[in-house]
Amino acid sequence: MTIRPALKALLSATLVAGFATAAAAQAPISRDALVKAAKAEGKLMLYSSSGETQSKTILSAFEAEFGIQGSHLRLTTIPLIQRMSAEIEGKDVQADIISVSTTVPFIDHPDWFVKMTKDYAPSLANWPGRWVSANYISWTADNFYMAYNTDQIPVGQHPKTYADLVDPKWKGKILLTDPRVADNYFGWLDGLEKAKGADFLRKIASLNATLTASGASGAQMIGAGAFAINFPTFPDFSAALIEKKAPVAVFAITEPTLVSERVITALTGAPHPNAARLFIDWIVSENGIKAACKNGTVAVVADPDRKYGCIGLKDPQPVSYILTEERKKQLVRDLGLSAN
Amino acid sequence: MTNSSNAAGAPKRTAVQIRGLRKVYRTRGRSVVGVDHVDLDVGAGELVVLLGPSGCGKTTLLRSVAGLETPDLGEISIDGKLVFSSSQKKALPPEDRHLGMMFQSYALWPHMTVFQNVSYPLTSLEPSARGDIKARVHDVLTKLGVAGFEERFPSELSGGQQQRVALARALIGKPSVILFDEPLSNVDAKVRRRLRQQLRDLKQETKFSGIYVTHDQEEAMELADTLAVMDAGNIRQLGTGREVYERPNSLYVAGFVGEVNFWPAELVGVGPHVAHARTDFGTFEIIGATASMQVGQKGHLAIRPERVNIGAPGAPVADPAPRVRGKVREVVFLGARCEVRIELPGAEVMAWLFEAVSHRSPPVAGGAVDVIFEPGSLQWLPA
Amino acid sequence: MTDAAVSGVKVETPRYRAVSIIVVLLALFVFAAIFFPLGVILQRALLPNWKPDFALWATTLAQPELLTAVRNTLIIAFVNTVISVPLGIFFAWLVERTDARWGALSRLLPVIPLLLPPVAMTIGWLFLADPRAGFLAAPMQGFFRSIGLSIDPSSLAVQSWGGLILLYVLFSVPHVYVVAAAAFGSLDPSLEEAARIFGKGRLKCFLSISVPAIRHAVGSSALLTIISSFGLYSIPALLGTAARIDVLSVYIYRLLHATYPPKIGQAVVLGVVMIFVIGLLWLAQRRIASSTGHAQIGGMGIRPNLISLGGWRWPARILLLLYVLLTSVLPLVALFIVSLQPFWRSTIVFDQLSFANFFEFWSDRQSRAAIVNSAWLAVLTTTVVVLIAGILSIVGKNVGGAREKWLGVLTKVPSAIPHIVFAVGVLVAFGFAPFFLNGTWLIIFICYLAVYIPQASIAAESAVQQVGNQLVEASRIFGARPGRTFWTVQLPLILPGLAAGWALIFTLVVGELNAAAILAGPRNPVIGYLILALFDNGTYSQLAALGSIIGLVSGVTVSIALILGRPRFSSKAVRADD
Repeated sequence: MTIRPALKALLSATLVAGFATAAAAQAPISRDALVKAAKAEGKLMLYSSSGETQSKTILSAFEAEFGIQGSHLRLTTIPLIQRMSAEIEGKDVQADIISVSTTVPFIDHPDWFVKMTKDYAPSLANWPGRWVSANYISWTADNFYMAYNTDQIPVGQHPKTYADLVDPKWKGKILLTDPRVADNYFGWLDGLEKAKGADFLRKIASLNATLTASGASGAQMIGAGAFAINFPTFPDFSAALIEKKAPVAVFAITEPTLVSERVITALTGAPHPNAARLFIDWIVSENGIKAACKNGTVAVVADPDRKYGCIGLKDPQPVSYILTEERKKQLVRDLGLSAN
Repeated sequence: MTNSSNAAGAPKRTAVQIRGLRKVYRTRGRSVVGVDHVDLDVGAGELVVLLGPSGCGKTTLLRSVAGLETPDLGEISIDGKLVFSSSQKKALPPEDRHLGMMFQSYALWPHMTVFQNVSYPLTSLEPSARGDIKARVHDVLTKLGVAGFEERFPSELSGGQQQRVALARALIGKPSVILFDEPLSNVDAKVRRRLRQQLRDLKQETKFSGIYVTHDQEEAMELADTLAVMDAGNIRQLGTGREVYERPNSLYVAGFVGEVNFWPAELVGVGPHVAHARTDFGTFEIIGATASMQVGQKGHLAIRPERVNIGAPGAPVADPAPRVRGKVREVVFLGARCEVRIELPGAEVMAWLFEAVSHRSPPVAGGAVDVIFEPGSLQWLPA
Repeated sequence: MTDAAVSGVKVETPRYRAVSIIVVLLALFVFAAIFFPLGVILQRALLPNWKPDFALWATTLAQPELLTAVRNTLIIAFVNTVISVPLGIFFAWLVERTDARWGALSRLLPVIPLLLPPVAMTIGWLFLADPRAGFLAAPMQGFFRSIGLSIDPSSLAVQSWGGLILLYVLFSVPHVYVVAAAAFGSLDPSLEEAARIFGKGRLKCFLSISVPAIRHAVGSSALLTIISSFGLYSIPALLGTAARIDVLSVYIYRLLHATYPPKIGQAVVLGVVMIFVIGLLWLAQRRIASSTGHAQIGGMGIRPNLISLGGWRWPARILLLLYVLLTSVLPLVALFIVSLQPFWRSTIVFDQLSFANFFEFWSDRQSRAAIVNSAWLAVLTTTVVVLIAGILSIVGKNVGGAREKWLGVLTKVPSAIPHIVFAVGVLVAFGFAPFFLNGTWLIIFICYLAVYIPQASIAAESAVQQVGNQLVEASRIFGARPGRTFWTVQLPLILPGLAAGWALIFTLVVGELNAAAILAGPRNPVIGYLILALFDNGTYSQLAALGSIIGLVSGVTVSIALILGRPRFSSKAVRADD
């Protein structure tokens, strides 16, 4: 990957050692002292690529519990990280918490993010150890979905597995989200190929699916009845439509169960370090999990059994976000999207 | 050319003084001489007309005086104040030169009313120097016969009216000198004549000094106190209109100011007052030899067509005048005059006959005639 | 004008120096806004550790997908220019130079598509012409069935080469129109009159006299069209993806958005290549435009006489109306209907229509702030950008020569850089120490200033070229300082052209998305940030409502700009010739 040096330069040119010391493990603090300090800060800034509603729901639950006013910046993963990186480099950190669907920046810049230890957030004790990394935690593991038009496909008669989707009867009725637009879609394609083989991708290609540039526009097209099925997608994209009683339903496609991993962590330079710490501790606690699952659109990894109202996934296998360029090209070609 | 004082009458002071002016344009590696070592004086109340074909440098000279071009070398003073000097590295911008100007395109601002256009030079002045703007605008517009149009826009005026508004704008600030950049080239012949007349009257009245650029020789003769004929960046001749017309110092000037007959010739004898020049059709006497004339010198023998007469072959004339036998080729009736082309041995001559129109029967094409050159009218023009 | 380089003599007066200093400072400010962020980006992307990374160039340019995207982009740019420029100029001529116009209203007709941000215009067309869910789909199929034709609906899809080019043309025609209309508006009609006197037909007169007379505007609008053909994202993303037509803007978007870490290096390499292409195009259009004298406002009365079209008057009007109806009104109506629906659907259920989507914006404090602030920011930014472009164009014309050329090329550079890349540069350059502008309005202002200076200067250059030199010289001769000359003569005369540029850029600023993503936020929300949020997580109905609001705001603002900025060279609208 020839791009990495360029990007590294962009991201770390003015990085200062000061952050590195701050990244050291934090000493334990009593719960009361933390809540008091966080309340004194009074504010929390969340940078998240989650849907607007999701972030608002969580922040208002947090505010209801602690009286800390949360605000959030909602952008897609890449602009969000670019912005955060520039702010960290400029020593003007705005974000306390970041949540995105990639793990790369956490690996590239360990010193930018707080070490996720039980000393830092005692509630982490309850979080499955598999989902805790050095400086971030895996928060949700979201199944790849399809959205379908309920006027065209009666509920219950929709395809349920990937094998169902390639049935020739859907020919001309499928809207495929262009996997070239995002890393997690590439990961989905990679996972699908690994599970079902390249021939399966060619079967999808033979459906002559129309492409859509984003899951968001795909959901709208399904709602309007332009197509019967759109995949891969996430429930977030259809949430507003379903709320408005559009003829849209979503379904988690299985066989294989492919999931996209969302991570969350606190920044070392956070302007409200105590609020951030409290938030992390809270988000992995029972109340935090309930708040995250309130909308019923995500699968928090710590709730495989739907105890807290989440979409429960047993032993989810996250797709890989890091693929080589050659691999990506091959996948795209198998899907019939290659250039020329 | 050399520095020359005004021939029309000694001025009390100079409005414009130009010394050693040179301007070269360099574009894409080529240099084109705009003006070259020009000296010129414009006296107070004097109108100098720069006459020449396009590209002769007359416009460059005018624009240099205006400050719209920065010359490479030389000095320009206006009203005794140095406005440009290459040696002192000084160049006043146009707005500090206190000028008036009439542009070829009128250059009236289309988004301003006549009043706003004409009062513009006054509002540029210090408040104390402005006077009663309204009254001054009204005065000058009345003088030019365009009062009552104050609130109109230029587009709502005829060409002639716009012209007069442009002139009013040039006059109103009582500038040291008014520059005219072919201001009459865009109106029709009738309006042009009327405006020339008006300009002459105005000059009588207000005694403005000016430099006037034109390529129209009739216009030049009519307006000029002093005429400067320009060619290739140089002033070729400077003098009153009459001097330049009657005593051109070169074939170029002779040809540019009026019509002229000319033939290649060689000086075969030079005396104190009289010289002799030989052409293909004879040798002729030239009155008024100058020091620069030398035997063997090549050049042209020239004469204005109105100085050429014709008579019946061999017919006697009152004064003994040089004459040549020729054959009428063509006779053209032009109203006020008759233009006759006569074939001479190895040459041709054009004669303008004024009496032929009213008195005598005109010559007939094909007939033999004697061509008579008015005594003292033949001129020597060195090559 | 004064050419000190040749003579070695400098025109020096103290007051003159003050003006020069102001102009130089202004130019420095603009160039700092452009080149400081650009330098940051270029250094980091192209010279990591201050060593050129040739492998990056090779990787970037060796992608076969890039070739396809470039080919498709060139086809679109070419076809779009070939259609939009003549169409826009023809409409401008009809409205400005012939009696086909009626009232001030007709001046605004061809501008209507400009009022919507491209993303709103594109979904408006989806609502209208999607082959299955568009409002026109069922009636069209019914019509074809009734005449016995069985046509696959997707063969009439707006998601096709045809649909793509239609949308590009719709987006570009208003750009061409406003620039050409400004030029026609200040054109001396005696040229056309002369042609008519010499017996030329109306069409011939249009082709052989009117068009060459505004050749600078023709060149400028062609350049604008090409630049927007390169840069437009929403149209190809929504329609091109479905039609499997990849273009450069979408390709670059994927480089920047698809993968972490983003391939900024590749995007910058492509940007650098585009800087050269656009620079060359600019020089070429400048050369064509100045090769032979185009007509100018000369100061010899401009008579607002309109060419009588005679029997062609009504056909011309009908053509204009039909164009506006088909291309602008129908999609606008579609957009408005969907904005009243709870979600986009092809059947209109009347008791479900409501203003709920609009109230939603109004009740949300942040959305309201974004709309109101964006409008103010756009007014301010646009005014400053256009004014600066006007001043720089005038100065450029005054200094002439190589300096003008450099000024011209340098002010076009930002048009080649993707907004999101540029915005990152701006954030790094001005966001933090020593400027600390992150999260402020000023940083968005600076970014938009740099990003839209190309369009503004193209419009301003066209206007400046249209003003005769003698008008300016006359002002100086009559004692006006450069400052006064600028305010009283040059600025009023290029005002129609600047107003056109203003209208154009206002709409671009209001609908800008990508720089907003990097620079706007909860502290300084703008409309683009809202659009992005809705586009990712809202419904198209909400987006349509936002589009309608923007359309309304832009419509009012642009109308005011164009009406205030129209040339007024007579006290009455039309006077008979005397």
